Amino acid sequence: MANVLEYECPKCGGRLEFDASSQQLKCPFCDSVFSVQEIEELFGGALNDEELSEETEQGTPEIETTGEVFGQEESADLRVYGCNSCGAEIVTDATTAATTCPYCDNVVVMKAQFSGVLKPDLVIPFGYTKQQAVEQFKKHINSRKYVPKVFSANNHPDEIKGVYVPFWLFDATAKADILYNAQKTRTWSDSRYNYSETEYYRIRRAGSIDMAHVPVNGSTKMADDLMESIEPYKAEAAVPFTTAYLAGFLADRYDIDYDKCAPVATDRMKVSAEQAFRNTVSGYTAVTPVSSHVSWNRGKVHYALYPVWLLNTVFEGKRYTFAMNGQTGKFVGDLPLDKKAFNLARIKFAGIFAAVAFVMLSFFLIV
Amino acid sequence: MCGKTNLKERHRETARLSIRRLLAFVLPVFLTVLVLCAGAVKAAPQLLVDEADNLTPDEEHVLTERLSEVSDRYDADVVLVIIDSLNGADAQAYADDFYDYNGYYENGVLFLLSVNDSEYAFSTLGTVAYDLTDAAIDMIEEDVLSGLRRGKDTRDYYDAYVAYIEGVDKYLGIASSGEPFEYDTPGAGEEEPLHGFAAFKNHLGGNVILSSIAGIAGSFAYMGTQKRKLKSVRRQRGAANYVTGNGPVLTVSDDRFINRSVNKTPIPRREPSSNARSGSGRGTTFHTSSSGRSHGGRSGKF
Repeated sequence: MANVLEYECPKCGGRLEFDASSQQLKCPFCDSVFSVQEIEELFGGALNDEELSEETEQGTPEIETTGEVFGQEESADLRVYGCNSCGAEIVTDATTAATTCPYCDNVVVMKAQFSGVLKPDLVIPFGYTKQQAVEQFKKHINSRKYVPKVFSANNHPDEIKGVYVPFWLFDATAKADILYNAQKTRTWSDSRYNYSETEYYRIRRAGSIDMAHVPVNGSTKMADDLMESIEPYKAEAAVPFTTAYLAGFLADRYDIDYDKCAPVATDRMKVSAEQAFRNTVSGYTAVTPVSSHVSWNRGKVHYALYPVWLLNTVFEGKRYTFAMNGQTGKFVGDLPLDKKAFNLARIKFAGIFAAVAFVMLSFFLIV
Repeated sequence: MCGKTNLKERHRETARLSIRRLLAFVLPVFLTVLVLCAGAVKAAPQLLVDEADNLTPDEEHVLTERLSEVSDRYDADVVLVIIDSLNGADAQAYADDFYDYNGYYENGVLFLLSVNDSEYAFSTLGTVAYDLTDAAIDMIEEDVLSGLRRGKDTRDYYDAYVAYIEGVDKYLGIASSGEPFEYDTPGAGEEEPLHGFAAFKNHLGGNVILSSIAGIAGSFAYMGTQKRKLKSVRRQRGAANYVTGNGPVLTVSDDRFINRSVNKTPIPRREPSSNARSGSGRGTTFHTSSSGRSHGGRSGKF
């Protein structure tokens, strides 16, 4: 029985843990030990009842979704295109014609209409036009040094495409119970000795922290790191979805189920929860976490389409993908390195720094 | 007969009345002056304290005069304390505390001698601590030590006390007319040739090598940051942007004290030997006394 159950230590209120080797319940905070019967008597009833409460195993929230699907009339306004090369399924409205796949630049073909597909709950509309996206792209390339000139010249920024990327947005309340060891040190001296005094503390922080709309990329076609790099998205600006928003843009459909995406979200939320709790401990010379329990409450997931301007380029056999957050304008994308220019610059700067160091050492004795 | 007696008696009356009036007037004034004097005496702590009765009255007189003279000259308290026994206390701490807790001036020096323990200590405070550098105390300590050793059998340490006062006068004088005394003060000794890292640095070849290393390292660091700028795609570790409300709501916040441990490491003692002069130690080594003030000085046995 490896689950962590919400039982409070009768002595100090700490969260009890079941220790498999001794088959007893231990409090890591005050080191008290209790038998299973003792705790059952105190809290009344068999331990297993609590398992069915709102909280489940550590690491997986109970998630509720809205889960509406597209009806017949709605799907009349939508078209689905399929890319035979990479398998992407692009959705757009009836008025927009999609011709090339935004992921692999190959031709797409219109497929039969569809219905009964999960409908997005939310959409963040595009806040930047194609023109602005192209400008941002040019700015991005020109702002960095040692990019091969050939690369800068041979891009086709006009081919930048506006795509709605499917995201699963996770809401959850993280409940954390964290123990730390901390120390305060001070030093003084007299004529014979140097003294160092250390005080040791046990610290506990427990409570909850709410998080909402943590986005996880729901499409295998979009790289996770690229999508995370253009964060954050302000979900407060999201609106309920209607097909009208699709006009002029391409939308991808999710192909990863939300329960596969949940661990990505909970990992990130756990990191932030632990950080937030750690920030409440202050006044010590050193603090180390000893044990950390994070469990989840009120998990909820939304299906959303977020706007991204996307551009693909191939250079010297490598593919470079650029993305701009269609809501905030944040532009990212790795750039290639001009090795020759870079190494020449390295030598140049080595010479400059060496000359400066030589002058400093000769004239100003730094002892 | 009656009249004559009356006259005498009246004279005596008058005389008694006059004396009484005189006393009535003079006595309070005299007492006030006495109290004021006592107060004044209490306000200025003694520069010479001989609890061990090690000095003759004549010696006390001479030393007190010299102490006052030097104290006035440098606007500091130059103090000499002679005790029977430390009773287990640390000599340096005793000297520091004696100076701190007996109302001495914020700049000064104190020499403590414990006759039965054969231990001594110097304690300096304020500007005097800066003026009487470790090197200066070294020199004074040498002279004092030779006096202490010579007088050990007879417990006659008068020469040592004189060496202390004269040493303080000399080295405070050096400090006030230029720089506080250091070993490389001109006339103090020959200059030591540079060795080790300093010598390498001054040599031309060494300079070239060092600056080449610095140049390469600097270039790598600078170019490294330029290269890193090319990469803008990375995964997010946390979800800090998605926290709602004002952050965590704490239901339990407990800081519990467990225990305390104190570690002490001995400070390596500097021997006041006359041949171990290096050019590297300058200034004054400070330590903190129980009152929290920073003192210079050192202690020793003989």
